[in-house]
Amino acid sequence: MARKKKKAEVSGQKQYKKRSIAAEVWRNYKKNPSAMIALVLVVIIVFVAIFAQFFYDFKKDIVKQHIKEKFQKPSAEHWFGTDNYGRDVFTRVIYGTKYSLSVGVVAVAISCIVGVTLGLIAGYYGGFIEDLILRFCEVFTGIPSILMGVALMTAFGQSIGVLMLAIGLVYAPMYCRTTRAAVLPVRDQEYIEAARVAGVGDLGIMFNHVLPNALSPIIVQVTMGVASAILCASGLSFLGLGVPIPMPEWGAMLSEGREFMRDYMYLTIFPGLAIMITVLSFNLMGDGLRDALDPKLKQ
Amino acid sequence: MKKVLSVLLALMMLASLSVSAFAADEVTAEGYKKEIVIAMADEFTEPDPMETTAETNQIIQDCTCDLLTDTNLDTMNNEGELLESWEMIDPTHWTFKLKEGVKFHDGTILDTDDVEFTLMERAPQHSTTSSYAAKIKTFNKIDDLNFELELVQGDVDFNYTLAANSLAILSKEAFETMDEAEAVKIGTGPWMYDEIVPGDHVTLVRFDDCTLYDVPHTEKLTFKMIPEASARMIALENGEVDIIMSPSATDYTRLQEDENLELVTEVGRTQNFIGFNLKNADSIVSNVDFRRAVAMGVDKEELIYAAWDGNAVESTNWHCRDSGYYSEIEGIPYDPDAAAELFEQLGCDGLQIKLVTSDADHRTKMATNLQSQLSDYGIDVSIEIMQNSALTELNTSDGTTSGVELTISSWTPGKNADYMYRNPIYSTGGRNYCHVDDKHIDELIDAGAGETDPEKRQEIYTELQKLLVEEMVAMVPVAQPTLTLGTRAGVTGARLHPGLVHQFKTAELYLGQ
Amino acid sequence: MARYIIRRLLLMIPVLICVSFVVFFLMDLAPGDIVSQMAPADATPEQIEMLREEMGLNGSVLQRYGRYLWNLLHGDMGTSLSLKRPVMEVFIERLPATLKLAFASIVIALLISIPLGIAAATHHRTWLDGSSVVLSMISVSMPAFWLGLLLIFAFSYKIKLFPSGGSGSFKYLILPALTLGTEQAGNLTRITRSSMLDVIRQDYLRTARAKGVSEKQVIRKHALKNALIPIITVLGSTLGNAFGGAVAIETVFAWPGIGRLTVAAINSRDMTLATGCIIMFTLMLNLTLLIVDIAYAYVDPRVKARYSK
Repeated sequence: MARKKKKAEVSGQKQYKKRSIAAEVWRNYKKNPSAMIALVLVVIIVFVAIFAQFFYDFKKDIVKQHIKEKFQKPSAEHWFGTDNYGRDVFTRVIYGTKYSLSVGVVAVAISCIVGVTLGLIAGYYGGFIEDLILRFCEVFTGIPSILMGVALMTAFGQSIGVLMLAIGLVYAPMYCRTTRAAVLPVRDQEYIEAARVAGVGDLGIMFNHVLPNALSPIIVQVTMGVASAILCASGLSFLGLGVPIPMPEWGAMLSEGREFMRDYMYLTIFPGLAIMITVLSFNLMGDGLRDALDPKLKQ
Repeated sequence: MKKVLSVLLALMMLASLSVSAFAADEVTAEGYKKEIVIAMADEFTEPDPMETTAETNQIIQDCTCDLLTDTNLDTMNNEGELLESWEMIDPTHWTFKLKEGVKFHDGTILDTDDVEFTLMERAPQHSTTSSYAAKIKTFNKIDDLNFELELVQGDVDFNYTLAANSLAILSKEAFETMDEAEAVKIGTGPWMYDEIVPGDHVTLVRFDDCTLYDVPHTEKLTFKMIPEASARMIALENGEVDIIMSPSATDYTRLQEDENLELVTEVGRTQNFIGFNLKNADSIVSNVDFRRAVAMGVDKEELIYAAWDGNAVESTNWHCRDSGYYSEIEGIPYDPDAAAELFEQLGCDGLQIKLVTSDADHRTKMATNLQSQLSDYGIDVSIEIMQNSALTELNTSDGTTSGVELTISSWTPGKNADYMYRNPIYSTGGRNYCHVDDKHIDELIDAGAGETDPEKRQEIYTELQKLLVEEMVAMVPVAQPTLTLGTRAGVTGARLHPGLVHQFKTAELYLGQ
Repeated sequence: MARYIIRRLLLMIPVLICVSFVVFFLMDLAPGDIVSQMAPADATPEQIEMLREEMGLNGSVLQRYGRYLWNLLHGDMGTSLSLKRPVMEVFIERLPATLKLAFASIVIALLISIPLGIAAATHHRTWLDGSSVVLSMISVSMPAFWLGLLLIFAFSYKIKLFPSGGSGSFKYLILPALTLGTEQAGNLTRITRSSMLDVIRQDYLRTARAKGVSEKQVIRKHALKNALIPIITVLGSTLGNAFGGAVAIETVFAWPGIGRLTVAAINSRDMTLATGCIIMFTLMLNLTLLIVDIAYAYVDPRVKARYSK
């Protein structure tokens, strides 16, 4: 999560040589009001995800049921009402931020590590290796992500770790392609050749010279990737293949509340809103970043 | 381009307006609704009774074909359906007489050849029925209507075996003249298959030559698959369907209060329980005191509230209420203080324990509530939800190595008492989830099955019930949930079956002229 | 061109084989199997073994996969274990529902996104543009199944206008198609808007305008055609995804499509049906992408020239 924040504020924090670029990006980013709102929201969401567990007690506020107080409409006491077990929905939505966000972030980290590495290798070496990796990606992207997720969750069992891994693997090929596409034009540049002549090894060139120059599309994709990973996770939870009970993951809350939708619509409204606001924030931030990183694209 | 788009848009709007009104009911000359539509949760997948044990399939098969014996839903007794009468000469020799003039859908008349074909030729070839077929040593045809069976082993309850839905009698002639896929659809029931649209609906048409039942006035019976309880309810309210299976508990009041609708209820025969893996020596569940503490510490009323919104009958006994030889034992009453004390003696504060159950809605709810209840005693339950077949496999694998501690599961027995024990309790039983392995219990189960004197039999079963629940605490029986149907007011012939194969053979709805 | 198509088709074969391998092994890893589920509650171990052999599930996973692949290469996708009918037959039965939903949703998405995207681009930096951006952002950020639930609540519970689920006449199609269409419209609007913006500033349009061609004509005749390539690309992948990726929406609306069939097959551990369905999805997705590539050639002569080289 902390890493995400840093990326969010690609800003003037970085002090070394790229200072001017970072400052430029930040200056561009600041000009975009919706992106700024998104940034503030993302900071709040991350804050909630980290600190909710210190305000609420898992056993007392999440596990414990009060059957007699079930289905209370939203009120001053229960802001979002109570569910079919008499649990406070507001508490659950707030506490659930942790699960949804960590699934999103870790899944993206996994797909990023796997995808970027493969993409770098494919783009840098080219030839047979590139073909092989691209074919491999094709196998995975050929299967609709949600079905692949269902198959992976079924095979390895339900747990938050498996959920992260499943989503991470499902999205990895996307990063692989983006990275490769970004690496291709850089590959034949003179400075790469120069580095090679200077005796820098393949790994060194890849990570020190090729990757930094291909970074901006990856950064944008990572930000938006968190958004789609959260959506995918909520979809899987909705199908009953998400986190274990009684973790208040938003998709799982939606799916639980659906049974009572007709009389107690608020049970589905609030978790849905939470998903939407979070995903929207990350998407807007990604959009803002894209414009800021590449002013030419800004219309 | 724009013009094309706007025309398209206008067309779509028009179309959506024209179809938004719901069709009015079509009525027969006698004033009955022509078509009864039943909304079910699951998909119909198989017309062959021997290829399935899924209730949804069996419910539809029950409309098209008949069994030798069946539960009479009025008296709850096992009575002849295709059989006129039977006699047990001794526990291994039985004679049977078929009803006369029963017609199959292909026009042929039911005779002993069809029974022999079903029991002796088809049954041994199918995994769902081979164990029943293995009970029969010889089939002796006496004439077209009478036959005699010699059993491998004495069985005083053999007539209940013939009530297994997979043993529905099919037409031998049909199999000789048609493809198997078509022949399995030929039964003797009041309804014939008309159309099967997988994943959507099955339509049956009336078989006018049926003599076993008063042929209903309804001309068509359609089973429509609507997986969502709320969607089924809406469909019922809109008049799209006439009967809905298992409405959501939150809709019960709506069904009762709406004068156009009715709620049909019946106590089910499914025993829901919290099971302990007795063979898991590494776990505290192998300690009988711990099991007793759980049994005392769990508020079943709250579990019932959480899982079924209060619509279930609390169980004190493993033995189901309407199964034969049930006895009113006390079980282990709820006593949270004593439980807390016992848990403390056992040092359970901070104990981590794992519970496995399946993704069925009520089981998940029970598990969630149990987790909340046991957290009061400082016990931390982690829940693993799996698909039902995975749960079955895990629960039936070797208890010493499966790693299961607690499980939430259920058992739906037949009417005869032996069904309560043979598979789920007997040491070699195929569904022995609690891994009961006790010589004395096995002996009692065998003795109960072989005893012909009802009084002595009652004694045996009472002892068995007390032993299992009160002394051994192999499981905590929780509840037998209420089965429900929602119908339009005035629907008759929609009958709930405690064994879950509900009957719609004579479903009709009188709407007036 | 023909050679290019044939090459692409041939390349699909190894991909499909890999897909079958991945899915088959994932299904084998999954705990629980279909045998214990299909066996009656009082089955003996012998009965279960008998059933296992009946269903062709005996032998190691490699042996089973070998048999499966052998049949697959002969064009036989096997028999569904749970439905006991040929996989292909089951698949084709469910296909129309999926296609109906996919195409209806695409039509809705196009009806929303093309006009909106063009309007946003031609009215750049106005309230219209701003709201189109916000709306499309919201639509891609909303869980589609949630939107489906909201629509059911509004149009089946509150105003009883449409059925809340199932399939049948046209009225059953409207809510699910609207839900899926809205989800797709978000992305399509964004693409339409940005590619139109790209094109509108090109020199040749300036020339056209200078020549006195009306603005409407400019947009319709010149700009849209050139903006079409990125739109077609997104359209292709959107359509491909609508075939199998709409599982949650199919679930919400009880739509009898193949997405739900596949999930049910995975749940009941029906290996042949699950593997078969996913292979077919992959095939459909790849074919759609191929068609998109061919469509380029028609839209853009430059691309065509490249293929025939």
